[in-house]
Amino acid sequence: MKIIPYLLILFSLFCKESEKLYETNVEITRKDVVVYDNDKKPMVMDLEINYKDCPGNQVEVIRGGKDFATCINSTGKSLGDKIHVDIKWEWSDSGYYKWTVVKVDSCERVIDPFDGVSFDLVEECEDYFVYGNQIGFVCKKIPTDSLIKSCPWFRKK
Amino acid sequence: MLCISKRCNYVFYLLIFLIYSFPFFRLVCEDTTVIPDLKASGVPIHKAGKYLSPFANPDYGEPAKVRVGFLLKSISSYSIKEAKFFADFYISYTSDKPMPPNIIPHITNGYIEDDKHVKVIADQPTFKLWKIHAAFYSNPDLRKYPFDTQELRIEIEEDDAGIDQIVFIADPKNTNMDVDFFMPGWEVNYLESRTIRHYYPDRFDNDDLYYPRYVFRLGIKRYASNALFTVYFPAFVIMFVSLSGIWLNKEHLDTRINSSAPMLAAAVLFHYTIVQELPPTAYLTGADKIMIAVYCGLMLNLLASWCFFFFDEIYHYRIYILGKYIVPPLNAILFLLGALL
Repeated sequence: MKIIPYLLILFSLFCKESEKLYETNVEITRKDVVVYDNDKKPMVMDLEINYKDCPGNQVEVIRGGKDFATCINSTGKSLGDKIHVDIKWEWSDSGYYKWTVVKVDSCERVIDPFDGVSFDLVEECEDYFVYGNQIGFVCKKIPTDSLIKSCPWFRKK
Repeated sequence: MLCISKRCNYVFYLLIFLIYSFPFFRLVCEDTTVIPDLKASGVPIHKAGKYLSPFANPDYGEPAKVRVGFLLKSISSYSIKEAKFFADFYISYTSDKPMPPNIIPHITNGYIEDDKHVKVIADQPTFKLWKIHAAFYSNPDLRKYPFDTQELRIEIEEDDAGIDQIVFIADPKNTNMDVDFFMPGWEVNYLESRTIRHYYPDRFDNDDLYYPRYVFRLGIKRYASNALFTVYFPAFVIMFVSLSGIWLNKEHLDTRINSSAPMLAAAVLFHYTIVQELPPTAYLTGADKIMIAVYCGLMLNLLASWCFFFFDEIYHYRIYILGKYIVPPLNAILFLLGALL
């Protein structure tokens, strides 16, 4: 019986947090229709969003299909506008947590499993000084504690 | 005859004198004739402008301020042992005024295997873009191995145009990694971009020019889970199996010793395998420290068994009890010290 607490601790190491849904506002920095169908209607759309409320420079490019593109166009939002997004945060088979933008404004985003184009650029940059002279910059690519505190969906571990 | 012979002697002494005094005369002549004349050095110089170097260009005016953009496409064949990796990247120069002619990135910490591996995509006076595939050398720091962070450096310099003509500025907006950038077994910790003004120790007379150098650094961190399961977990298993014999009493002494001795051989082999993957270092890596702890633990376990031979039989029960309750915590302490120090 004494071994049970130890086993519980051991098993808890392998436990993963359950899926969570976060909401935030982002700024649209790019909106491009990548492919049009034969009727010249948007079929594939790229939407670049910037998480302005998060520290650093967090940019994400999300690609959506026909319904998503049509819906985004119908919202009337353009570059520089703030828009509401829903983010799903869950465990990934790759061995870390991942986030996915599942809804932009009222537009559901259905992700094609073969989508290899959507990407994110999570970084916090600062200038690099030597003897008070700025000679460059350094960008941290692993989300820092301050970033995770204000935008918890960026947590990977 | 005598007179002739005397004359010959004089001539002979004079010759000897001339021969031996020749180096002296030569030195005196050299000392007086070698004047520190810059023109005589053979290296052309510039009398106008700040720099005398033949690579200076005093007529160029203000140097072109060149923003350096960098996109890292991929890194392959990274070998810690050889401190070498291959990188594919794009590099762009964008300047506020036309750049000097024949500008091309020169790699200072690696080499380009073939001219075909440098592709000129744009070559305008104020904008240039190249795609380069090259090999680079970057010294690893293995003090924290296997929880190490390595820095991969890519250094590019203009070696025939100095800072009197061209000044590099790291461009944060246009410095990125490609969307699908991936290094198996490593996660990107940081990227850094900086520009320095490099000064060479004299390679020729009046080599006084600074050269612009661009340095891109990629910090990569080994996955912690990988480190745990490739180094710490096997070391723990070796120690644990060896420890299992400690609970056996004197009647099973053979089994008790056999649980430790083969583990010592296993530990040596395992350590050897780890060391094979790394270059020789002047310091202990984290893996070395944990293996030293394992060796100490194994020796302790063997010593606990050998005590049965060293001491009289009346002490055997006490040895068994002490071994059972003291050796495992000592093993745990050793392992922790090896892991944390």
